Amino acid sequence: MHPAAAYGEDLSVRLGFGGALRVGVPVPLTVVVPPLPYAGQARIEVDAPVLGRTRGETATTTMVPFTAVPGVRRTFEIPVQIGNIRRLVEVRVSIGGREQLRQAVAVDPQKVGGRLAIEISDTSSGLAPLAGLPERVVTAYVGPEALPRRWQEYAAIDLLVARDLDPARLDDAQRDALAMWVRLGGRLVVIAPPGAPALDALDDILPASVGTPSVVPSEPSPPAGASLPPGPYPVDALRLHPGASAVRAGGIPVIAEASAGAGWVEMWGFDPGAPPLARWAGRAALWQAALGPAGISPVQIDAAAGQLPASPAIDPLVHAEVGGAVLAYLAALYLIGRRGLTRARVLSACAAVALAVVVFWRLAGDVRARSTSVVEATFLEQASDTGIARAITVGTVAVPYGGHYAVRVPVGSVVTPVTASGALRIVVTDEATVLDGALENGEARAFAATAAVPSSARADLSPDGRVLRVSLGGPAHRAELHWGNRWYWIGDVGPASTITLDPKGWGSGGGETTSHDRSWVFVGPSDDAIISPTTPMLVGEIQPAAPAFQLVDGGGLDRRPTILLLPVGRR
Amino acid sequence: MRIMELLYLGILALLLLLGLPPELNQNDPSRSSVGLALALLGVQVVLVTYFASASAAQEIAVEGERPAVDLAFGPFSRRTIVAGKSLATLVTVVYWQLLGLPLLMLAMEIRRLPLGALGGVCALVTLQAWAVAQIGLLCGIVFEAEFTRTLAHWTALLAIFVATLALPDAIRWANPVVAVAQAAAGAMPVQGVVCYAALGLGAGGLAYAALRRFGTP
Repeated sequence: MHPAAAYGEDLSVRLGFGGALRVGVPVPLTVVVPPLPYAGQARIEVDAPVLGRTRGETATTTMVPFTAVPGVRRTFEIPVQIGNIRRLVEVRVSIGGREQLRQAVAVDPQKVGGRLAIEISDTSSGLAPLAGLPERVVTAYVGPEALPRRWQEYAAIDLLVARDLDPARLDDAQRDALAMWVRLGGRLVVIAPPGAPALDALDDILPASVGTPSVVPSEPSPPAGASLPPGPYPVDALRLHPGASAVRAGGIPVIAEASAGAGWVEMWGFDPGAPPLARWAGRAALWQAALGPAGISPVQIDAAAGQLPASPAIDPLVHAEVGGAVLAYLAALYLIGRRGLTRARVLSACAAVALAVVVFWRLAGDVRARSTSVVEATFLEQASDTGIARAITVGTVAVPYGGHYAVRVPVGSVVTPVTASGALRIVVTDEATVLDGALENGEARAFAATAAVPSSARADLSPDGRVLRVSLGGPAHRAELHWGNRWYWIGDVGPASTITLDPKGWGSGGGETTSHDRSWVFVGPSDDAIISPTTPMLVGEIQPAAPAFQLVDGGGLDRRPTILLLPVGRR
Repeated sequence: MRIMELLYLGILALLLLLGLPPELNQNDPSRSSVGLALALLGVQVVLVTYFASASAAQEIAVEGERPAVDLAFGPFSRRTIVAGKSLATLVTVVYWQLLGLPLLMLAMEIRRLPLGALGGVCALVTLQAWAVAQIGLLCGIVFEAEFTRTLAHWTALLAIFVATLALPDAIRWANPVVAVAQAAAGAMPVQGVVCYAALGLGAGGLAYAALRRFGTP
């Protein structure tokens, strides 16, 4: 028996959303540490297995340090990335350096999906129609307490359905994370049948408010292709927010839908699991429409990581420093011994050797630290009509002489390795996340940090497609308008500009051209793979904000210009 | 400082600086990961061994140092001469090792190579250089003509550093550079240590016996 087990409860661990997850993206792992009779510095370590290049078992370890207080239950939410579902996820709790609790969590392969639909519900029903779709959609049901407090942990979810959701059961961090996720591209369906609680706390992102209970009348001969079945059934007559569109049944607005930033929100004023909708043949199509097409990020992170140099040039001063120190050592020995060796001179030479050992030791550490480098590039995906953008920073860490590295990522970012990585420890604290690992010489490791940043850029294309109006808040360089695989060179753009487009100015394909000085994302080995916009988008280089990756022990930071990805509206 | 020390440290320093670019020491699983430091150690063992044995064989004149043959006509016993020469060689080798230590340590520490092995490697290099220098001492006593002495000394050096490379893998540790490489990789060749200790003691014993022809007590 484990020593702490005698005290009572064991460790409680929840992985993903009711066990559902996607491989390679951050998912929440909730660890509930039961009351323990120990105090002191403690830590939770989570070993998330990865499919590594090296033989044997590899895992990325996420560590959360905390101070243990005897008799106090603690709950921790830790973002983890699962790379190998065949092995167990191990969670360990240590206090004062001694392991007190341990639990292994298996990943259910049935709950690992290509697409994920999660319902917040007290009853496990309602999403069955999605399971019949041709794409592999995994469904799961969770309580409100399972909703993450970091919006990045929603990354695995394609559709979140809120049924029986009482916003009062969510804390502020959960509400903020949910709203942020939606605004940055999430899809949410809120089911609000008659009697549903008011959803004022989420009003900012909802397309409607809960209205008055009503009944859809029966129609002896409903119109062909009707969106909803004929009544009678009870509904909530939704009160639409400005900009929302509605689907009506019997003239009553029962489905309200609208975009919320880059996301999409639907509100259903009926219970799709209640008759007659539960037996309605068209409900699968209704759910499929709510699920939407598979979201494709316009930024291909692996391609971006591949474009960043793995071995940046070393500061030439590093070598000059070594050369200078060696010459100084030789000169000192020469000066001491040039007039023959006496006892005093021998002692002086020994002192010079001892001093050189100490100085060279420190110099070696300095050379290693200054040679270690991070190359990073940030992609800013503006959420339309909001003051926020998703910032994805891809960083490549290289330790030219091989050895240890420690990279700090500011709080608010969730960071994951781009490729499977063993020998990596991610230390998550309230102040920052620190990536701690080791690399062989010649090896580089790429990470992606995702955060939300304030940004209110916008671009509008006139209905005839001839005039583009942009408001960026600052200048952009090497800007291009992208639409599918076609692009239009714009060049430098001022903070607020109106650009007249020449219909003959569109080009296609990626790569370098002689006529335009294109941005680094379009020039190089991954020239047409990094940016894959499916909707009209303005792509340009802007001034980088604060760096996302910082080497703890000092070293080089090389920053590529930040790439702004601005969806273009038609107005 | 004499020209020999300058030359020795200059060669080590040059190798260190030329080997600084990290791409010269890329990780290659098919080869030893010791890389640059191994190259420096190899050069060091060759240089220290040569200079020590050349000094003992009077191929290189060292200020203030008298040949063993001259001492044989002095008031010293054979044992005193051989032990004194042996000890002087040992001190010289240690002195040279000390001079090169900061450079070696810099090369190894930059690449985070295990410094723990460095002590053992230095001891092995010292033993090897001392043993070969004992052969130089023997040559200095046995061969009176400078040409013959130099020829014998270089023949011994070539046999030790080159001919041993032709040995089967199992006894390749007889080569000083190979033995140092093994020690740097953490596998100290014990047979090599014993072999070189025996070589040094044997050459010293022969030098002791050879001094008898000068009538030294």
